[in-house]
Amino acid sequence: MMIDGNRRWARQLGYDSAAHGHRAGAAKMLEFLEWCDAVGVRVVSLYLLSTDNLRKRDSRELSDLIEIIAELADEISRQPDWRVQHVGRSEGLPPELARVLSEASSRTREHGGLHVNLAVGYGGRGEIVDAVRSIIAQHDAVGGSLEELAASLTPEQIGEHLYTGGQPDPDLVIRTSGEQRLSDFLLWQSAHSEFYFVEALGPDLREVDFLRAIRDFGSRDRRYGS
Amino acid sequence: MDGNGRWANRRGLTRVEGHKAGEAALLDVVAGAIQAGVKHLSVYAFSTENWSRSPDEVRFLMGFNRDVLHRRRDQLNEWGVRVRWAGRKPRLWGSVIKELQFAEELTRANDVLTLTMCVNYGGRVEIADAVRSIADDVAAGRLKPSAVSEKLIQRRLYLPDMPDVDLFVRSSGEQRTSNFLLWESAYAEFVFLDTLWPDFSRVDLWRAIELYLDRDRRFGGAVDTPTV
Repeated sequence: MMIDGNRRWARQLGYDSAAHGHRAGAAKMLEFLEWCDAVGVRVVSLYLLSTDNLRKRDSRELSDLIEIIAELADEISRQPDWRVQHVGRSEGLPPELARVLSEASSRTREHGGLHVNLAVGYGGRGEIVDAVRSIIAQHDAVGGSLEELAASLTPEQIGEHLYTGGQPDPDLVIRTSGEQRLSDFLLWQSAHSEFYFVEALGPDLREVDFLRAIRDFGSRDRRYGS
Repeated sequence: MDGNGRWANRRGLTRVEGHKAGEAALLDVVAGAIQAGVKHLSVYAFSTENWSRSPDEVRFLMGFNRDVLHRRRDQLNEWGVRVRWAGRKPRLWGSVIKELQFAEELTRANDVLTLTMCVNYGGRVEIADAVRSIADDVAAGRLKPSAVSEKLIQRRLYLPDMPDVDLFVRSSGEQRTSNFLLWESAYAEFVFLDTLWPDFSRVDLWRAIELYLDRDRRFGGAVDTPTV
């Protein structure tokens, strides 16, 4: 889920600060997770903060956003059976946010319900770079030769070393606010995902939009490239 | 270039006839791209996933790609199109590789439009191939593991000097990228059109470009453009 349009929503309502939009968006995300849980979705990934956002957004909006994300992560982790996983780079995140995410993950590690990936400090190309570094390091550590790695590396290995390693690829990517692009979100993982675009701004997302997305997905003819 | 099969089915024609009708669409779109001032156009002619189609269809597609290149290279050359190939060799028919290389050589000096034929291409495998070439250099001591970066991966893709995709168009109504130019499309705007590929013309391309021009591209930053 790529929730987009929080800032536009706030501006349309006449708010000075984007924080109102981000807060409304965060509340909507909690609802969204409940809708997912109710229809039996097993894994949801929320794009909350990209490495691009960290680099490019102005610092006041960013510090508001960081606080809101930390609160959201904490709240999600207090749901009875949901499992939180931080997907992204902790380096480069404000220490407090990194701490909240780490605690949310460890607090919920044994939970068997809805698996919620929180993409914070995330970039798809960066994730692939991190996967490659981890493959090389791991290979080195077990005394494998890099010549061997260079000869045998498969796409599957890269997939396994992503932050989402071990998880299924997303079936459906939903983006709000009418924007139709991936913005480097789950770049590797979404190679065969279905996209569904909702016109509504993030905070205006309705359950009926979600159910329509699911129904539309159900009618898609997935060929996985063949 | 999706929809050849469905187009043929609807008319009671064979898939082969669908692909042939798709060839005309491709040439019209290339002409339209040139008219619109587009400098880089990449088309998905054969994917690594297509190997799992029936042996007959695979055989047809290999021969068809070879024949289209052979048949159309002079026309593309006259138009000032520079033909390039993005893809990998393993399994790809030698005769197709020969045609691709011939077309590349023939049109090498052209600069009106660069047309990248993605043949035996897969986005994930392109990245894996790039990583293998990097691992090779690390193994030989030419690179440190810490040198692995987005820039380095980009430089080891099949065509490192190809710019990132601005506009990603898919015909036939499917809303997915199917592993096409995966790395390169991280920030691309998607335009999904219902038109089946053989029905596609330069007008559909122009329509996609108009939709693209209306988009507000922010690349993760926040731009306060005034909205009407």
